[in-house]
Amino acid sequence: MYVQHDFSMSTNIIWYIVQAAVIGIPVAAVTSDQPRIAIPVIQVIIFFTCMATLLFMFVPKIVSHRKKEGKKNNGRGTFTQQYLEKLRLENADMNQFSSKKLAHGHHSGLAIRKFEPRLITSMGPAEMMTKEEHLDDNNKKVAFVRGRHLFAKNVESS
Amino acid sequence: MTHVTFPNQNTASLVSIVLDDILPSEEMHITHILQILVVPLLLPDLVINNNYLGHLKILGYTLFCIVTITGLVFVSWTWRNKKSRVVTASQPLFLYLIVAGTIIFGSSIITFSIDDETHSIAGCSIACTFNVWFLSIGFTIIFAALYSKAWRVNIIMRESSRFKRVKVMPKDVILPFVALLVVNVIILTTWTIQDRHEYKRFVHPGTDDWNRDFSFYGRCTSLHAEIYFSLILVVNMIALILALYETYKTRHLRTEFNESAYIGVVFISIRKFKTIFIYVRAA
Repeated sequence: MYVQHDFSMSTNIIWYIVQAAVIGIPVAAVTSDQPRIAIPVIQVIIFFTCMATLLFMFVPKIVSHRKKEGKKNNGRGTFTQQYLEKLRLENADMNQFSSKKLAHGHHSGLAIRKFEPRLITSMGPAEMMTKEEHLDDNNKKVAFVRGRHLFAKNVESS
Repeated sequence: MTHVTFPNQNTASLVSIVLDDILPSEEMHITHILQILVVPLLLPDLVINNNYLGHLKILGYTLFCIVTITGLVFVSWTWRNKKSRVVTASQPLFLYLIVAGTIIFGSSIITFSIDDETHSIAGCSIACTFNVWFLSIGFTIIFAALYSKAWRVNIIMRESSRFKRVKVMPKDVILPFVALLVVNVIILTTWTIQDRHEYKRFVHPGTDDWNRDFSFYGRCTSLHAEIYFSLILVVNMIALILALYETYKTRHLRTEFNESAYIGVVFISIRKFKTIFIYVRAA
């Protein structure tokens, strides 16, 4: 029978079993006159109880919050996408420099052979997006924005 | 001809024969001497095992730091997103209370780490008192906050099913929280004043080869601990059943608005903790 994930307790049951194992195995060996065993066991039990309370309370909320934030951004793209779209509009020439073209060495219109363009396939937060400026062979300033893809932003005479 | 007879005389006869130079008569009385102990004048050094926690204290400090940091991170997240729909629906006040309760509950990890290796007996006795306070108050805050939270969700959902618009403020459902806290504080205060906790050292059964005790352990004691512990247990059990009932009623709601499934697991974990704690104490 299919059980909707939100109501499924399987994760919690696994957690419960792990918790029971972590607690039960040491407790089997515990006697109250052995503080070096009893005290750490009690401390670990308290720790797991505290962490279970916090994680079960907050993690679903954080996940739900992130999902909602993701849905909000779907209509207009992520921050990176918005930024790159803005760059596209700023410079129409950039449209012809898709990441695939750069990766395969199609550099029509710009002398950027010197810079070995690379396709960055994965990207973390938008803050990791970097801007690079170089001078090519003709003393022209070439600016790149590195993110999920590599884009030429602007070409200027030095 | 010497006659040997058993066992009519004691060792004194034998000693007197040797020391007083009494010549053995024809008839000698012999006693049962099964073993002769040779005790040296200088006994070997007594190696005492006090069963101190030693480096295990670091474990306690580490666990407490993890709990506290996690709690503070979640408080920070709640504060930063206090206007978002998810947090608003989750009633931030109760989230803060749950984190506060968790940190207080987790503080008992520190007091459990205190023994007379690095602290005085008086200090350890104070730590024993704080153990009980932290555990009980922390549990009560977590638990009462969860109960009030579930109750509030229930009121809102019940009224909405009757097509009534209702606004339930936290202060409307805070009464059980305060009541439970007050009852616990009264019991704990009475316990602390009437029957002080004391840290005492006990000796393990068994001695070394020279009949000396060599293994000791320390633990918290209280004359009427069972009575007060039972009182706290009964109060919290009643509230626990009520809270489980409230969360059971909200089981059909979307988890976005309540966490009855998760709260249920939390209750089971806490219940398990108490059961094991009682077992460890009784063992």
